[in-house]
Amino acid sequence: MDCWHCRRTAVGVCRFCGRGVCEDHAQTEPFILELFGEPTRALVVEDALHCGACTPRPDPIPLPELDM
Amino acid sequence: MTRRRMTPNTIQTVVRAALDRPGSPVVPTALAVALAQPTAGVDIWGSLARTLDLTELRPRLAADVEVRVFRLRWGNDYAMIANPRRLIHFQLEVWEAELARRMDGTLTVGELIVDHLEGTGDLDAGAVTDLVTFLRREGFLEPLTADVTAALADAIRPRPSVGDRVLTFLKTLRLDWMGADRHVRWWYRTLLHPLFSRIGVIVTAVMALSGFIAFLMVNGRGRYSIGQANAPLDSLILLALGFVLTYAHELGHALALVHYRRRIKSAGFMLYFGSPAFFVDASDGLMLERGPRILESALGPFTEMILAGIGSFILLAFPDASFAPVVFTFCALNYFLIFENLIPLLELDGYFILAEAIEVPDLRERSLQFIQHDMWHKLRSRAGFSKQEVGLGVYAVIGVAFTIFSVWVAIFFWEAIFGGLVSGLWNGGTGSRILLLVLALFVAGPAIRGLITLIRTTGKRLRALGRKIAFRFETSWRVEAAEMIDALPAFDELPEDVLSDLAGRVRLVACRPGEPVFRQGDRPTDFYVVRTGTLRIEEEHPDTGDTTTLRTLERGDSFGELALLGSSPRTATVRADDDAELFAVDESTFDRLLAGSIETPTFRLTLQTMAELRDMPAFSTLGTEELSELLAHGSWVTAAPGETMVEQGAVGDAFFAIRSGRADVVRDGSLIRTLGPGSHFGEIALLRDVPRTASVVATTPIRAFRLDRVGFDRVVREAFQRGVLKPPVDKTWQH
Repeated sequence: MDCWHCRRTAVGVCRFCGRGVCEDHAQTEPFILELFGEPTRALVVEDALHCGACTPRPDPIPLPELDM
Repeated sequence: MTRRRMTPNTIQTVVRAALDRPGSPVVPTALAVALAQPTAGVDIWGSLARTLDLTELRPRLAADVEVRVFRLRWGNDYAMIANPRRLIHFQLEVWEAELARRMDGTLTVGELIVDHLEGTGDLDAGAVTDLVTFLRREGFLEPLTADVTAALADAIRPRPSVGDRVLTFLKTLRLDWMGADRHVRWWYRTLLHPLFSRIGVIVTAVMALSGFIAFLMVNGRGRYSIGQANAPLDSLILLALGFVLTYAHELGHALALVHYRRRIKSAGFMLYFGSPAFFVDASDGLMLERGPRILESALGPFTEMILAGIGSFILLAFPDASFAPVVFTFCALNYFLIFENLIPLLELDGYFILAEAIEVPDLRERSLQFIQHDMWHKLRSRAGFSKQEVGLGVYAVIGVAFTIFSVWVAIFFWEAIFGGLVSGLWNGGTGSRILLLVLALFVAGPAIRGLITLIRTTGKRLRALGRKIAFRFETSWRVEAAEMIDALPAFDELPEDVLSDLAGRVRLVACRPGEPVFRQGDRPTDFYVVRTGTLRIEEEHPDTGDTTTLRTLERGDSFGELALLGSSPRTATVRADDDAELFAVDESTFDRLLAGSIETPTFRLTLQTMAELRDMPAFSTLGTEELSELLAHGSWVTAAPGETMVEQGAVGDAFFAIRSGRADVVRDGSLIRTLGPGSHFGEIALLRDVPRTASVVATTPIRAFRLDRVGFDRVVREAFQRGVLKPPVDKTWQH
């Protein structure tokens, strides 16, 4: 797989979107691995690989179709 | 095996059950399992796409968001938007504010874009979507959403230790306090709000004015001087009083905000050039109208005047008291600070009062910009000045002169007052000398930081100057590079300014004999033009490592552009045969140059087509000029399934290379081969000058490049003769 940005060989895959990314273009973002019940606690990776091209939405998306 | 169809309710049940289990992980396991079940009649992905489509969004300003447009007499109108939940404020253009006001949840972003077009005649869809995105990100739109990213970042950020906080303070010389709003409200509610009544204002104004008259009377008697209270203890008392003074000054500003129902975002303590000082973040005051804003600026110095007035009354009442010299110095210092604060030439309260009064919020910035740029330009061109420009120029010149003067006065004043403290500490033994050094470090801290910045900036400027001088010595070969790039067929349509820019950024690269410029498979970084020497293009066999020389490059030849265009690895190695010099253009410059040429469609099309041709095995060995020749003698053709592209027995007049699709080669009714992407046909009739030996019939939609006989003879024939390309043997093409 090649880097999304420069087409060099990718060294990893974006944790959020799956794009390939090389060492030069790799960025990091915190990522929630698991959420646990009340009170909410999270198991996180502080420096998950991020391609810098995708934009993980910071807010949950409403999907009322699932509320039927 | 049949899977049980789950209704959406069942999915909800599964997810909710998982969420209710204490301590169990719910994301992504249970949720993913639930969502993976087929649902009845729910297009989740379609719904998601619609939700994420910004043009379909119906933005609605949150109920508590405040938008205010300020109309100014000079036409420099602006607007402010405030988010009271986060206490953030942004300045907007007036059209942005008006558009934001229309965001009531009834119009989609697409409709807002049309509205904006109808209102202003400006179809800047990007500006509207940027505004919506910005407002949503900063929490101005409903529904208000949780910012998971920010919450996560806050949660995992380690809490600063005491040591970290001390270090931060030493670096910034500033302590922030977020609870200031409650503190000021307490002062206002319990004690000071009567001062904002009509009677309160009259009483305090009389007190401030009569206090100042009292000070003039005391000063007129000549009993005291500011250097009189010069003992170390007196200096320390004055320092403490100065501390109280700045607190009162900032409290004055903050009280005005509270009185006008605004909030204080933060406040804090800082060492401002060694002097302890308070500060208030009064950004919420930006939402006030002009009058209250002027009052807010004025209340700081006014509060100081009241305190100085009280001090003057004490002096008048107890002229012989032992503390009288200290009180006199305190009052003198106070009035000096008030005077300095109210002079509109420094960016202090007086400046903000003046800027608001004349409705030029960025007066200082505009005036400094004017004397730095426009004024000199006008003087050179002997153009006349408008009244406004004269005003800006006079203000800027007096402002700069007064700034220098006030620094000098401040040094004199502070030396007279605190000189005793310095000499006392210096003569007070080792401990007090260390204390003095620490104090000096605080005072000199900003100056040292300023000096470091100055050294860095000077270094950068010197380096830039060095590059500029070196550039002048490179003029001759840069001109040569520009001429050679101009002579290249691919760039002959480039405008002169682009060419000149390209030449200014070109590098001269030397290669020793045998040295590769780049290797097959390398990431493309540059585009090259040969200045001197010869180079060869070699193709390396991926398995055996054997190399085949495809072409020789000489002065004026260019290479490396197609890999840059296609962002693909180098398809061959280029190696110097002897000492060679190359002009190299880096990738970003090359991209910018091409982007600037997009306005010339034929050029863009040619480059894209050339890249597409180069991808096909039949033409992969060709250089730029040969590909141009190919384009001059050929074109892209398509064929539908069942269509005969070449008829057996017909006169051969063209050569074909298939880009996509499949075709059967049929001779006398029998299938002899199947062709696919990358295959070519039609060369036998051209090479041997015989009629077509077989028919070629498309079996799927085909896109192919058709090259006429002339083009074939000029460009491709040689490749067949050298054996780089081979005529087909009778075998079935397979993927």
